[in-house]
Amino acid sequence: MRTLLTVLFTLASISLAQAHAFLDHAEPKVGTTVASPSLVKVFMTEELEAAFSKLQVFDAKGTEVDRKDVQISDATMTVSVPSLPPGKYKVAWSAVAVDTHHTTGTFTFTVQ
Amino acid sequence: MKTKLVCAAMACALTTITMPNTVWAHGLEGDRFFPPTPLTDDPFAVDELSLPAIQYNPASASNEIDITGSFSKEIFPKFAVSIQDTYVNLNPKGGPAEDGFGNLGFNAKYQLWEVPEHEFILSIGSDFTLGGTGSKGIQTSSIPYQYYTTYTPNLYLGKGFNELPDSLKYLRPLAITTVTGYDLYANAAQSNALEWSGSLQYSIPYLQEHVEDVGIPRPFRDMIPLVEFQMTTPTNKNAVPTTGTIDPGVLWEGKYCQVSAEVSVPINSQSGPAVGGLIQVQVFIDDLFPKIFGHPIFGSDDNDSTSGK
Repeated sequence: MRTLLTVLFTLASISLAQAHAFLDHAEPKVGTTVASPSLVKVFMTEELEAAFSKLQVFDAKGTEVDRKDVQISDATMTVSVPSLPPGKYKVAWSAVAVDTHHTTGTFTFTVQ
Repeated sequence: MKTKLVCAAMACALTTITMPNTVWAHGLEGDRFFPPTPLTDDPFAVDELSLPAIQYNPASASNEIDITGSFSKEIFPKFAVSIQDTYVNLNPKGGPAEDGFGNLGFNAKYQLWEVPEHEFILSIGSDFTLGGTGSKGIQTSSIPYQYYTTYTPNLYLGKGFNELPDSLKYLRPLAITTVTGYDLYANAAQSNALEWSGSLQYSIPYLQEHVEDVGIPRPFRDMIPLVEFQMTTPTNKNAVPTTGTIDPGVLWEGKYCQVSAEVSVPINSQSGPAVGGLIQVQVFIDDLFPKIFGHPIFGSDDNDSTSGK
């Protein structure tokens, strides 16, 4: 038992593996009310596979409003948006970590 | 043995708490992560390793400590089998100490119905506990040795509260999981029983990532306070009343493992004389060894693939 635990924890501590990528934080912050941003950024917890990850911004009617110019660098995804009228917007991210684990998530922010 | 396992659990917590980020593994439905909880088997048929779960009832007549290990492997997409056993240590007051392994248990589970946008999942499965495979030395006056096999068909449910209106948005991190099963004993003299357990969870990570970033720092933002219950209702005539416990506690999600601690409060005198407790370490083996675990042996699981997404 102790040998098995030792092997597991040693492997964990030297970080041989990656893990699922989840949202660490975002700009604008999740659930906040802000002035119209020029960029939407999500900071993930793991390095991403750029070819399989994406970031989109939708208005309250479900229309995609971002400029579809997603930039991915390490664990960060960025997309630009035009001047947004007041309202609620949904950010949808789809992330594939470098170990190929796939995760998705959404959050909203409000433009005043 | 007990000290070593507690030290191992602490080592796991320390190992993962020093890592820069905290992420989760498996058990995802839409935006919701349903963590494996100590008493309520989660509805997901995925690769899981629970090593160990330690349950302590200091005031029971047998002064019992249970150390449980289980391993689950996804065989086909959405179908998994698991094996489980419990090392039991009895220290009755005024009597000799006894220890040994309990009967060997198996489980098969299938994810029947999923609606990610509603954070809903329904699964079916069955437990099989093989009679006569455990140590005879650990029987007690209240729990006699089981020579007979038990079959327990189960219904598993998970549901997030994501559909609550904006006026109740701070309740959206709530989620429930339940397991309802029926013990069918191979021994006709034994009373069959309804097994029902559940959890009510408040996910602080869900609050931070999907509702509102209120700035809760780590390690608190990686915690999920919860209340579990685990009940047994015998169904035969003249059977004893429902027994069980209500178990408030908290989970902490690390990068490669989860640590849970709960207090067990018996619901009546038949359920136990006093408050006990349990600690569980759940290892996310699909993140530790992604090339080996985290996907079915046969077929492709869309949830963990770059294809089709």
